[in-house]
Amino acid sequence: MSKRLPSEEAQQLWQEYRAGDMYALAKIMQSYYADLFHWGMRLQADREFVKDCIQELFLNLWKHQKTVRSVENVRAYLLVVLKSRILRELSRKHTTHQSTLSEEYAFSVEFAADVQLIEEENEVYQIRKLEHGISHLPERQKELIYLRFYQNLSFEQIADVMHLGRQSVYNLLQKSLISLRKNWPVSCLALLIQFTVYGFQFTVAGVC
Amino acid sequence: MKNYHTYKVEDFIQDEDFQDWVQGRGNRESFWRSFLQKYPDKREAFQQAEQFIRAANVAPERLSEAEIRKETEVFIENASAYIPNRQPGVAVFQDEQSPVYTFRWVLAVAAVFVVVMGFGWYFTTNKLEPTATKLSDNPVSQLVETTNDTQHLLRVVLNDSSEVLLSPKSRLRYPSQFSGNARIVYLQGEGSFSVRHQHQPFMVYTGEMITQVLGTRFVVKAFDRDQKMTVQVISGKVSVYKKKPAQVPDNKEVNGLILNANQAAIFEKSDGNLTKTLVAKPLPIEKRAKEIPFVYDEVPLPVILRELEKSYGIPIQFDEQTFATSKITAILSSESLYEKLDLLCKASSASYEITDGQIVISRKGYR
Repeated sequence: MSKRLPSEEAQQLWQEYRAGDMYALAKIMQSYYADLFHWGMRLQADREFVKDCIQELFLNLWKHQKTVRSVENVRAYLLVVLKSRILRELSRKHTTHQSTLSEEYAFSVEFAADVQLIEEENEVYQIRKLEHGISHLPERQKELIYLRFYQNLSFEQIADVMHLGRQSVYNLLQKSLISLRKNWPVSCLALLIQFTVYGFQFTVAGVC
Repeated sequence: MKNYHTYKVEDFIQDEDFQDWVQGRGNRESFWRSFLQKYPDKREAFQQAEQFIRAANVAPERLSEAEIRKETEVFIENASAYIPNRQPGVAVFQDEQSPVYTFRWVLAVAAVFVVVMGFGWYFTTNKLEPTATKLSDNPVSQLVETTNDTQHLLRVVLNDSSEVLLSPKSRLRYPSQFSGNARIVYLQGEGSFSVRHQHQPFMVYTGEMITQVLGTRFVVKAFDRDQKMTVQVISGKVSVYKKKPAQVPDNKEVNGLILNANQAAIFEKSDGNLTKTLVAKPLPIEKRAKEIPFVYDEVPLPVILRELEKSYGIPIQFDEQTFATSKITAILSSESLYEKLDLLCKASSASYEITDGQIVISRKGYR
């Protein structure tokens, strides 16, 4: 993946945009377009639709620059706004079965393990197995993994994007890890894997 | 310092540094390479987290740079239709941390300047689009759009009595009534401006470059496009700035130019270089033009050069002593400045070059 615009630079551009500089906003758009597009395509695999949504998003930001607040992380904020715009557009399209719950949206991602640098055949096999496991996780868990490893968001930012509390994000990750355990080579001696989440401890027995 | 002794799979997964390393981005290659030697009991968690991150890889979407550029251009097109509602008293682009940007000149003369966009980008995006409906959405500033589809110059008079001569294939967007603390117009293509002196600065937006006259500043912004833009000053004083790169100490020489009459600025988008030069056809500064007949009979070259310098307002550098003995007899009233210089140089075996908006004359073979 190519280098992203550093968040401090984006922050600076955001200030300039809020001070009335249209080209600062255009620069933000250009810099983060690939990320936003990729994200949009996960929510609705329709290139033109996603492009339109991104256009409207930025035009809206420009029109409402007076009321737009400063943000902690520009890219994470844009991902949040794009998601709600896309979901809103989609629910408008399908008014028949209007889903009031925002967590019922579709999310499609294809994981393609990066095994280029792995020489050991056994490890490639392990990674492929994991890839298969991740691909069969529930959508919300895949979304979390995608946001973490493709969009490189922090857990706090993921919580914002997914409209979840921080704790829920952790729990969701734990769920994923538990269901993936069977894909990891567990040595027969280490049957017990413990992990702690905020002092809340639970134990899983690994099956050899 | 992180406590790696307590690290579990999820801790590695949450460790951005670790993730960067696995994804081939970080700069702590040696640290993570030798990690397992230092923390041998973390092998399982370490490897699982690494495998997890590798397995969670997602291929990027097929999306070209050109597509992104096009989308950004569409945005600029659409967004240009909305001029933000500026509060009086709030400075435009006020950049608190760089007072260097703030220049205040009291100009007695109205500044007249020409903004010429580099050919290419702006013309190619100069397509007709349904802006009329969008424009009316904004009750604050009624934007008027004038596109010159004719073969000749089009005169546009703005509401503050400033005049714009719009070149063919060019477009000007401006509010029917200037309001707020700045007079802002958007130009695509070429326009020659005669700006009426007023308290509010007059700003011409052209892509990433902002030209500002009347006692303040002129900003040039670097944007990832590769055409060049130029600003030429006919009379008055204009300042041109490109955006200050981060981490470069305040230095107005590096970031900005002050242009006088007959000088021009070229902003090279490819390398971000902002250079000062002269306009293609320098014209005598109006008031003085009639006073000097440019008829010479055995006049020393330095005297003629000083006269040229005065009448065109362009600094001319030369060695007075070297040329003191060169006497010229000529009538140069109808020639352009460059033709005059050519003739004078020929007559005195000299040559001239334009450096940093000045004319430098030297004797041939002496440089």
